[in-house]
Amino acid sequence: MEHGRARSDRGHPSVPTRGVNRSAPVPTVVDRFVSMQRRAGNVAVAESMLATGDFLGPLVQRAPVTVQRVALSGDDISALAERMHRAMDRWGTDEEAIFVSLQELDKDAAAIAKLKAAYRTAHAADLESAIRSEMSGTELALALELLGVSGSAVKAAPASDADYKAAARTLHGAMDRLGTDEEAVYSALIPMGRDQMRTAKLSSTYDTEYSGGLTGRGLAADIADEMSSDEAAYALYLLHAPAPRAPTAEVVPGSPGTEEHAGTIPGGKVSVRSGADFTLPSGAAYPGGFTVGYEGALAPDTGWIQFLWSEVVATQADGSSAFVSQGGIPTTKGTMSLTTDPSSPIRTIDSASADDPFYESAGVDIRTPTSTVIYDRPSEFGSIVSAQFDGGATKVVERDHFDQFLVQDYNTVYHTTVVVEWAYTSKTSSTRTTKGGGPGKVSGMPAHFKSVLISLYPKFAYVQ
Amino acid sequence: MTRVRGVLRLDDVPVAAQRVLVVPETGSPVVGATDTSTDGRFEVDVGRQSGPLMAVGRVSVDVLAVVHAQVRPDGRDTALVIRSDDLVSLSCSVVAPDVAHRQMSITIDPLHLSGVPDRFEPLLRRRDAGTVDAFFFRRGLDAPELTLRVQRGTYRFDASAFDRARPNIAAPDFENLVLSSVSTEDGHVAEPDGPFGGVRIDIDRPSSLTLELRVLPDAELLTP
Repeated sequence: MEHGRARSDRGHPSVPTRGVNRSAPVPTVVDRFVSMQRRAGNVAVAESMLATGDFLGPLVQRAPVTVQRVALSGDDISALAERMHRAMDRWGTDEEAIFVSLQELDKDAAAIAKLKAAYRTAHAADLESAIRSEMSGTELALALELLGVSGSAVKAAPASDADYKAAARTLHGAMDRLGTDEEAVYSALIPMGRDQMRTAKLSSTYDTEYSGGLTGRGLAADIADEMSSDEAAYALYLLHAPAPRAPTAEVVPGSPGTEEHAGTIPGGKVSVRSGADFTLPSGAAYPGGFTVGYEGALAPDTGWIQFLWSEVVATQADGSSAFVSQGGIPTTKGTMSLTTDPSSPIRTIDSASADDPFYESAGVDIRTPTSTVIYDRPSEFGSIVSAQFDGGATKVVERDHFDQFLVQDYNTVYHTTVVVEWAYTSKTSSTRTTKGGGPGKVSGMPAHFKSVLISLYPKFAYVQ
Repeated sequence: MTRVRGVLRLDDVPVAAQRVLVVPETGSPVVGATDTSTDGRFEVDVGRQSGPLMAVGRVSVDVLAVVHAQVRPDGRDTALVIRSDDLVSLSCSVVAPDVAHRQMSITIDPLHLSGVPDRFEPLLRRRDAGTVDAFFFRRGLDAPELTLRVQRGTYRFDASAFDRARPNIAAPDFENLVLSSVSTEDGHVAEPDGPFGGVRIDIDRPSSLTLELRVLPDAELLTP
């Protein structure tokens, strides 16, 4: 189910870009709040929204808004420089990390100059020279093109059917040969700007022109079939990843609550809070929720995927405890089941979008150019709890187990957890506790989470 | 090792995919649990047991009933038979506000059943030794009418079209609906205790119930 959100520029002809003002004008209120957020922070934004009534205005009405890719900040540039250094300061260069970093610059001369300067300052080395020493052949050519040195393989965004056919031809030619030309694939996909209208049209054109392509199952299947895992991840990220997310504010924060966990990743920090109060667009006050936030570099390309499993334990009249079994509980993405064996949790993804697993795609959050904070205040399974008491139970405990993964571009970089527990002593009397924490930094999404992601959102198999 | 075998029937018709529990005569603990096969048969190992055992069969299809019988000590088939004559018809109509909503569902949980001893009542939703089913009978409604045949007894009724995630969705395009009241054909109206409280109704003769739903505001979901 699509909830009518329109944060991306789907349906709009302009490409979301950094540094180059190719976006259509955005509502003035967005500019104002973004500017205010930078100057005075989220609280000031929220207070202003309440005072002006803009809170219930364009932002929450989900009017189609072209994505605003603001110019890269100094922190963004520093993070990219650090990411590029890590990609090269290791055994075996991570070429895709270099490409995904350089593509952020959108070939903008000013941004490139800033990156070179930041790299020199941080690592006392020349970025172009470092790249030349680490890469060769078509890899080097693409990197140098993205760095504005030379080359013309990366075209402008497609503007005609002929452009799409040309891109499809490049893709097919790059894969229909002995040894896939990965850089040609990237070169054809980068100009799409992760605009899902464009990538859908490109996929459709490819299917039509080449009868389903090499596998007969379309462009994505050809990429997955022809490229190795890291290369396919980057290519499929270019094909399927959501566009950079625009600033939005769907709740009015009240008390920020207690910080349960804090951590850092290169260029940013993570915070988990319990006891957070906030007000929804409907005006309903939400006491005692939790927030999971990221603040730092590259925030528009950073988001949270939240997994969930739930258990309900009912104490029976004879004092014994039993797990409560129930399947078919409706969710946006089908149904979920209660877990009756905590050693084998039955997980689902807590997204209200049928086609995007990121919580921010349809759940309430506040996003600025430098942060994304998701807000959640789960409701208990009231009908299940109540039925247990009517059936003779003397106590019922429900626990919702949340795992949040921070995904930056196509890399999973951090893992946090929140457990919310309700302990009922009668149908109407309960206590609720929330505890947050986190394993911390990760270098990928664990397999048992990834399998759930792929089963529910196959297009997001690119997430590493 | 004791192996319990038998068959679950509605009159002469085998009933498939229904839960059968094996317990001591006292009603607990559950020593065996299984589902009937397509031909209504069940077979379950219950370990080393002393004393008589009881088999309890739960039927929750278009018939809601619970039947029990002593397990035959000779290892031969134990017959669990529901008699149509012991059932009464139950018609439920669900009336919902004209708003966009998730799929409606109805739940019917027997609390006391004619012919079922008190000591077996904890087994009405029991799945196995460590698990209970959330509900005895729950069905998504494609049509607002539902007709069943049920054992006489006291039942808990609830109905809803509910997604608990709604308050956390930025722009929900549906409303949550919960039970507002249940009215009987003789004009009696019962209201639930809270949005998920359910309503208890005695069914001792053919009955028609009307379950009315209401929109549940998000704020009502939020316990402090």
